[in-house]
Amino acid sequence: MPIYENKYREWKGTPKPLIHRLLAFPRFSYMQLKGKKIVNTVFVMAWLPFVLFTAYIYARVNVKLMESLRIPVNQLWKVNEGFFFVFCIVQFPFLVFFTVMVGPQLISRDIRHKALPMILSKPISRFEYLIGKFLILFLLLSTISWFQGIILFISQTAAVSSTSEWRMLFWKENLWILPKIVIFSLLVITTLNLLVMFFSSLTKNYRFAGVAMIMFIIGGIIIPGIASGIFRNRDWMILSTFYSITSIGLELFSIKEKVPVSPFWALIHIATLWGIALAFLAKKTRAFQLYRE
Amino acid sequence: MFLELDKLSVHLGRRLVLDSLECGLDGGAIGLLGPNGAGKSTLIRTLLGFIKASGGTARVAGMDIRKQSRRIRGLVGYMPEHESFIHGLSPVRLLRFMGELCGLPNRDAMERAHEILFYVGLGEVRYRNVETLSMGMQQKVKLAQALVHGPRLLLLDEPTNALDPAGRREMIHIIRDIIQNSDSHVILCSHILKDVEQCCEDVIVLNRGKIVLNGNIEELSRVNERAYDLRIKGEPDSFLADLSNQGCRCSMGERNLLHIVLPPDKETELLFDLARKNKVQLRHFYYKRNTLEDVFIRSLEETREGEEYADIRK
Repeated sequence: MPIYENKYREWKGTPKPLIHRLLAFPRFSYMQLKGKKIVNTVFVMAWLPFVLFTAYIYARVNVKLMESLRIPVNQLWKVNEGFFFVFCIVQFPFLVFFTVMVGPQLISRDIRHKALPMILSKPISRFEYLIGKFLILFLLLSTISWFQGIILFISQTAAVSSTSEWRMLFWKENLWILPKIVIFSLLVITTLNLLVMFFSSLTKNYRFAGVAMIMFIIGGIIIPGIASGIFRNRDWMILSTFYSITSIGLELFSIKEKVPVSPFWALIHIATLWGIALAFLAKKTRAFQLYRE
Repeated sequence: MFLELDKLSVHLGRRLVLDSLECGLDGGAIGLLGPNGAGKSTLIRTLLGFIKASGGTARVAGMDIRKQSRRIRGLVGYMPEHESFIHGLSPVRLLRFMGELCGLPNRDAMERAHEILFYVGLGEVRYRNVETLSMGMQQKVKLAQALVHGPRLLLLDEPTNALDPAGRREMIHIIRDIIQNSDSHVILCSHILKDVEQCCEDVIVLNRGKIVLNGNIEELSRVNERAYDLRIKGEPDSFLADLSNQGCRCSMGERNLLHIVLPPDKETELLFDLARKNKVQLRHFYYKRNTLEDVFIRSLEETREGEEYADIRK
C-alpha cells in the first residue's frame, strides 16, 4: 500500500533573482569536478607558490630571524611590485592547466548532447548562458590568481607588528599594487576563458577544443619566435598572446624591462582576441544554430 | 485567450516556414498536428523565443513573444524533440540544475527533483547518469525537467518519439494525468494522431507553414455528418458512376466497404434511389463518424487540391 499518492503538484514559490540562476552553472560544474583526482591535486599544488611566497614574506620582515641565520636582509629580494608580478606569472601555468582541463567541455558537451535548447528554454538568455559558463572558469581561476595575490599582499603587512611604522609606510607606498594584481589577473583569466570557450563552441568533441587551446598557447610562443628569427624582425612577436600579456603586465606593474611587444599593440592584440571570441560565441549559441548542430 | 497567433510569420534564411498564422485558443490541451516539415517545431521554438518572428506576433497568457520572451519562458516547460541532456549529471542533479535555472531556491529545487522523478516513474534510477539510461527513460527525464518548476504551459515536442508501445502508453498516461489534475495547459506537438486524440481537446493542423484546420476535436469529428459507409451486393460500377454524377465523393475501402460523402444539396434517400435503380442491395448502411485521422487527411487533401487548382489557374 503506498504511503502517499504520487500526484503532479505545481510549484508555487517565488523565483530567485538572476544571479542565483547564473551561479547554478559554476555550482553544478564544481560538483562534477570534485570527483576528478587530477583536478583536486593540481588545485592543491596551485596553492604551493602562495605558501612559499608567504613564507618568504614572513622571513623577509622577520629581521631577527634572518640575523640569527646570518642572512643579510638588505640583499634579499624586495617585496615590491616586481615581487607580486612574479607571483602572478608563477601562477600562469596553473591557470593554463585548469583552462585546458575544465574549459574545453564548457560548451562543446552541451552542443554534442543538444542541451542548449533545453537550457535556453528556461528563463535565461543566451548571453546569460555564456556568462554562466564564463563564471565556471572565472571563479575557479580567481581563487588561484588575484584572490591569492590579495591575501599575499595583506599578509605582507600582517607579518609586521602592528606598532611598526613600516606597516603604514608599506600601505602608503604600495597600495596601488592591489588593483594592479586584480586587473592583471582579470586580464589573464578573461583571455584564457574566452579563448577556451571559443574553441569549445567550435566543436562537439571537447578533446579537439583542448588540443586547439594547447596548440594556441604553445604555438603562440614558438611560431612568432621562429618568424622573428627568420625575418630578423621582432615585430612578429606581436602575434604571441603570451608576450602580449607579459608586456601589459610589465607596463602595469611599472617594471622597466625591454619587451618585444609594445603595450599598445599588446592591448590591441588582446582586444582583438576578445572580440573574435565573443562574436563567435554569440553566433554559435544563436537559436537557429542550435538546431543545425 | 491563452494562446493567440496574430499573423505570425517566420523565415529561416530565405525560406518562409510559418506563413501568417492566425488563431486563438483558450488553453487546455492543444494538439499540434502536421506532416514532417509542416512547421510544428518551428512554431514551438518561436513561442519560446528561440526563433524571431519575421512578421506578426503571438501571445502566450497575454504576453507578447516579441517583448516578453523571458517571462514566457518562466511560465513554460519545454520538452525538446531530440536527445537532450547534460553529460555527466544524474537525473536528480539535472532536474535540480534546471530547477535552479528557473529560479527555484536550492532546497525547493532538490525537493522538486525527487518528487517529479518519482512522479514520472524514474525514482529508482534517479542517481544513475542520464547517458546510461534507456531511450524511454531519457524521454521521461526530458519530460521531468520540463515539469520541475511547475509550468503553466507545457510544450511537448514529439514526446512519444522512439518509445516502445508500453513506454508510449505510460507517457500518454502521464500527460493525461497532468492535463486532468493540474491547471497547466499543454501543447502536444506530434505526427502520431492517436497520441493527440487521446490527450487533447483542441487541435491545430499545420501544413507547409499554414494552419489548415483549427478547432475542437469533438466538433471537427462531427462536422461531416453526411458521410456514410456502405456495403453492397451486386455490380458496384454503375452505382458508383451514378453517385459520382450526382456529385457524391466515393471511394472503395477494405473488404468492399464504400465510403460515400453526399454533397450538401442531396438527401440520404438518393442512395436508396440509386441502389434501386442499379439493382444493388445495401447490406450495411451507417453514418460514418470521422476520426481525427479522417479530419487530418481531408484537411491536407483539401489544401493540396486548393494549391493544385491555384497552380493550374496560374
